[in-house]
Amino acid sequence: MKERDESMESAPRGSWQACLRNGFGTAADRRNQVRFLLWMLAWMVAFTIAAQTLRGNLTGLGLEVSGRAAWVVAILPNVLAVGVFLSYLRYLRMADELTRHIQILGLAVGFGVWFFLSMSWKLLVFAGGKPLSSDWALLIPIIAMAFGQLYFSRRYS
Amino acid sequence: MKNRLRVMRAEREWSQASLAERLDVSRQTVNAIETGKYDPSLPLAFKIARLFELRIEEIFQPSE
Repeated sequence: MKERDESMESAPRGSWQACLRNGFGTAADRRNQVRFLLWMLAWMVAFTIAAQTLRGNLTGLGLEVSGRAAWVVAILPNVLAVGVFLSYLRYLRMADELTRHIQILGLAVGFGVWFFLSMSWKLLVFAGGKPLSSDWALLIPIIAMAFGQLYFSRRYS
Repeated sequence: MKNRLRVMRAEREWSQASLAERLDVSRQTVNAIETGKYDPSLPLAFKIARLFELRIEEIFQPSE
């Protein structure tokens, strides 16, 4: 019996429609993505709690730290960050080859944006501009990486 | 790189999803190879050749 050929469907090549239709990676990739996202979620929760505790915003809940305890609270989320890093490496190592290719291109876009942004902003600061906040310096490359991955996913669809 | 993957798949009446499953890759990968947007790695090219019982150069040819 003839199997249904999705390639004959009407979505034009290189469109968002085709990109979504073709999916992202294999079932194993999706499992590893979920594992990575769970680590990321755990880290984000730990990071938020640690940040709020250190800022003294959770004293009402009895979470008040100072001295060495504050250092421990500041370091603890990094344990989860190691999990985030290792789960991403595992995802990348085991990924379907085109998925890995797209991920690496996305990382390259993120790195490129971070490099040029930080270098050119430094010159703007020398020219009298305000320094870029560390929050934006972190957020912009992550957004650039996500857009890079979406762009290349579309390009290969 | 040109290839005959789409024709060979059609001859066997396999869907892209079915071929992807046999090759242990995503459907996106099969689609990108068929449309010439992505050249497979050497291990994947060998896997494709083995699956279709052909030599690599019978499936993939360099572009003119």
